[in-house]
Amino acid sequence: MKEYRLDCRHPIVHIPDLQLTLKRGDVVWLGEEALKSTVLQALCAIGAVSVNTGRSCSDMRSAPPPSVRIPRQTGAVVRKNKPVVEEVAPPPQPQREVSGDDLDARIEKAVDRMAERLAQVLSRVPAQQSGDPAILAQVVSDAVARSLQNIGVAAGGVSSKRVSADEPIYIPTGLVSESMGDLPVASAASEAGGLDDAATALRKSRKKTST
Amino acid sequence: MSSDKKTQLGVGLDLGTMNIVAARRKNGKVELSRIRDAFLDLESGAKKMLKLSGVSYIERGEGIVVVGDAALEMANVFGREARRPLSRGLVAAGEIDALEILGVMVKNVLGTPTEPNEVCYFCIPAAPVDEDRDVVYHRGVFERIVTECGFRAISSNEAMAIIYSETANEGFSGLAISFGSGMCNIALAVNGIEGFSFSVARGGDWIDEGAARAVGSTRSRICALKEKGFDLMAPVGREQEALALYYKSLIEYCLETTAREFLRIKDKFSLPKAIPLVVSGGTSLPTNFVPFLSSVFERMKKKFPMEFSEVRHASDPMNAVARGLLIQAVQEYDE
Repeated sequence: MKEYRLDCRHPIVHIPDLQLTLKRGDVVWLGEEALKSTVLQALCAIGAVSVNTGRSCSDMRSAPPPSVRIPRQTGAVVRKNKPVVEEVAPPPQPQREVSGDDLDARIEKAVDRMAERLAQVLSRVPAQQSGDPAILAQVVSDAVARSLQNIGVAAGGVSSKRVSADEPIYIPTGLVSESMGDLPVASAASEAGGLDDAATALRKSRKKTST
Repeated sequence: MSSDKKTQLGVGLDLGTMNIVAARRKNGKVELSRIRDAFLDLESGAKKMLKLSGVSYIERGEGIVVVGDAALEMANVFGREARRPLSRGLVAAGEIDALEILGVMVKNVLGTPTEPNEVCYFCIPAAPVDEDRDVVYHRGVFERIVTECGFRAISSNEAMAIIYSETANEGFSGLAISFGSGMCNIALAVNGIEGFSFSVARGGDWIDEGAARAVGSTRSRICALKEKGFDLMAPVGREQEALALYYKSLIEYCLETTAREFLRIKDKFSLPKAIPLVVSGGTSLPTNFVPFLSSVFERMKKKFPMEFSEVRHASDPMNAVARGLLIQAVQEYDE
């Protein structure tokens, strides 16, 4: 039987159909059956988790890591990175400067919301499309964007800028139509009053600056 | 090409939230064409009434569109608000209707180029420091419209255009503030070299909204009152007093933001001497605007990080930007 290594890269990830809750740095070994999880595939597509090529159980026998097994309903197995000999505090994660004391809590809430929305959205995806990674990735990206839209993470005191959903993506052509006719335009004339001198001075100034 | 024709080449195009103005040289004078930046879409059934009233309109699909000053007048007749193609100084993303209307307006004020690819400098605001908006799309839209009109489109900062228009005698050194309808644009230059430029997302519309809220009136009523003219140093009645209060707040906001921006660059950009502060734009038109601004500045002068030789109004506040853009276009041809 082949097993696949699942690395969690997100602060917190819920995979409801595998009944898994993982934190960043957690490693889980999964059976082949578990890879069919649509949520797992979607999380892989957005890079929240990664699944590495599996190896057979016989390969692992030479150095079997102590494992902590989770409920067997789905065949998923959780194993910690290091042998659990004694309770060891997890290594400190590199600290990022963030704005807002409650950022972690807000992110956790957002991820919870994301998981709920993800489950709702995935239930609406037609069965024949649910295996399409591109569709899943889009669905998950949308759900993540909606869940995280109110959280701005800042590093180094500089607020992050987001591209909003209504941000333009193209400029249409044919904006000047010949057939739309003439409009009344108000016209007036004023004295040129030094305009030519200003233009000459500006040209000289720009030449001087460029040399 | 004859030198006579050569001297006529070049166009400046000021694209404001309230007005679109094109400036050209013609017969030794500056010829200005202006259209109000507003439109109103109506059902085709209104055609007969518009014809009787002598109002021009554009047929568009199954409806009709009234553009310019007439749009504001017709909006009152039909009890509606005229639409503005620019929102707070910038093209509203996704407003395809508005883009087509802008195309027609620009084409009408620019006319046909004197020669193919005649240079047209058009203004763009600087990115606002107080809003998460940029000017990339805005610039792209107008670059395309001006190019489709047959011109070579070159964009230029709005407040720098005032520097070119108004500070030639000071060697293009000064601080320019364009008090517009959608936003205020600010630029600092020494010897024609830009020190900084930025905009704030407040302007005449912000004043109207605030004053209307304060006295329980409507924005259009306050705007009409403001455009009718009043003395900032001697406001009469609650509405004018509310207007003066919001004017003071806008001026303070612009000056405080200017001071903050200057402090960010002062190590890299030195001011050798006092420079003039030149103000322009439709929002600077009330009587005694410059003395009012000077009195506001006087209270913050001690803490202000730069020195002004004088505070003055642009020679033609409504057309200074178009004129500055024209100067830049003309210098592309002058030899």
